[in-house]
Amino acid sequence: MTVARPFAAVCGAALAVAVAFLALPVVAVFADAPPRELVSSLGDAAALDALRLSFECSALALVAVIAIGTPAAWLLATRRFPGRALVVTIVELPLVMPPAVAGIGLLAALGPAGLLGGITGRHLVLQTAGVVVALAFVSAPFYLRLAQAGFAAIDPALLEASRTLGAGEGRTFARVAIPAARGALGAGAALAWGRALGEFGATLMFAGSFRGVTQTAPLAIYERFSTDLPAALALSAVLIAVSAGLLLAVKLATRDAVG
Amino acid sequence: MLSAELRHPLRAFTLDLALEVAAGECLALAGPSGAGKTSTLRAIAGLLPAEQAQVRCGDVVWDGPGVHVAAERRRCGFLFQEYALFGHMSAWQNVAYGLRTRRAARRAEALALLENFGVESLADARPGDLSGGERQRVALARALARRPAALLLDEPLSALDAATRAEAIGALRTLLAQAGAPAILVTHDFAEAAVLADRVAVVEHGRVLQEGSAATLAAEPRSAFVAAFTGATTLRGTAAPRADGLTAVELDGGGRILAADEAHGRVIAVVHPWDVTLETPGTQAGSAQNRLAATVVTLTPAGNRLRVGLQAPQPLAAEVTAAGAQRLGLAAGSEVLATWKATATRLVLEDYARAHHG
Repeated sequence: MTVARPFAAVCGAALAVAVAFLALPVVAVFADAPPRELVSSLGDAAALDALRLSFECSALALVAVIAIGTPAAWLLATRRFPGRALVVTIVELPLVMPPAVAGIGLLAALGPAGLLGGITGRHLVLQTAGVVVALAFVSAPFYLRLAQAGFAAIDPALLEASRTLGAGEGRTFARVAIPAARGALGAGAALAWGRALGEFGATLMFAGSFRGVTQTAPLAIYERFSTDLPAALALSAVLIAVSAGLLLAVKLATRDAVG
Repeated sequence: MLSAELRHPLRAFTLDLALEVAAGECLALAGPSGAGKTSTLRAIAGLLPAEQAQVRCGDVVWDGPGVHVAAERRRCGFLFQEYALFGHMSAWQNVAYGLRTRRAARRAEALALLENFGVESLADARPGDLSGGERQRVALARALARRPAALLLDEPLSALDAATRAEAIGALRTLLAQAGAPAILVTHDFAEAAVLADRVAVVEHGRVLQEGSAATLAAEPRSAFVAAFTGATTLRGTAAPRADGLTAVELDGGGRILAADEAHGRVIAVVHPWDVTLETPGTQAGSAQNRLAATVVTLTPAGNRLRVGLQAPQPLAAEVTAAGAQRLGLAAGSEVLATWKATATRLVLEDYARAHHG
């Protein structure tokens, strides 16, 4: 114990610094947001539009990311195939890509003059659907990464046990792998959702910032920032509160009933 | 009847063995860790696609030229080393996972299977809340759910502490009796193999070194490795507690021994050859409580010792030095007195279900 104490003190101090550093801006937003502005921002139609758009688009993006990402991550976690390392790198690339670059990349690929522009150009750029695409692009790697790690961490004997009990690979995936990895899947979904809610650069480049159509909460905050700082603070406070609530809800929902 | 011929390269050696197990028979694959035992089981279950495999269960070919039946289509009950229970399901749901009956009938059927192993009261518990012995029994019930045509048991006792083992052995014997299917059991403990299996194959580096009854292997090891590995012989009998705290065991076929372990009813007594001393009949010396008249059947050199196969009247083995054998004038047919201490006798219940329900 006496040996461990100095080390524990160092760790404790490090944690205190980290928490203080990360919590300070959040506290400051709530401290600086005038209570009256906070209330009136909830009555501001444009602000509400932005919040609604943020949640709708991020939720849609998340559904798509989970639907496609879960089986894809399963394959990456359970199979060895040539080029797998390359595939993993491609999947993780958006993590390190500046959002502005992501936005330009999306324009170059899906914009009117882009690679697939003939098919997608008119439906995505400056459209709500474009926001969903941008959010899915930047948030998907977070989910894929954690889902892959979660699936890879499952005791292989559980999957083999399922097979010997007569369940094929599909049933094993649905009934054993997903429940066993639900903690990681939930954490991945929460991270991806958080990333999507905070998305700014790629959305701005690819979908623009039109009220009610593509202006998500972060874009609305940026717009108010130069003209009406109290309103920007108030909207920030609301976004923080709702995001924290979502994060918490996802964690609670996926916390193992496993024990 | 389950038969398997396997050839498959592993990291350090090539698995190369042929096995055959009759319905209702239990074959133990016994050997040190890393001998290829688990790989053998996994290949038979279809979980490890072997390079060359001929596996046949009854009339069904599971592996053969151009044939590889998927693991989920082999009716093969597999007991995993750490039991591999699904943590997000309750005990009964784990058992019901393998059932293919109507939804409404599942719980009742799962409960009936759990009841076989005396754990129906734990039906709604999660595996995480169960003890090692309870987990084992839930896993046994689950392995039976598909009415397996073959049973494969991977180190079924290794995850248990010594105190739980005796009961767990009983539960395993219940399973083997109920399934009536050919069974292969993997263990690194020869005593475990001797207690649970009808026949033992000693495996080393992917090959079967010697195969036979546990008593034969212990009495007539064909190699020093088998001699060293077969550290136990077993005697069957009926146990009854005595007033002095010891347990008396009336051996099948005659003879009576004492053990320090507590037990009542049908038991298997486990004795190690190096605990057994041989004396010429008539001598009355030493503190050893167990004294059985025996006939020498075989004499097998094992390193610097002799493994002496005895008939007493059940087969038993003793280990003596060459000098000791000379002094006693041991030869096949010699009459001797096999003696060992009550404290060197481990008792294992033969049938758990009977002991607990009847």
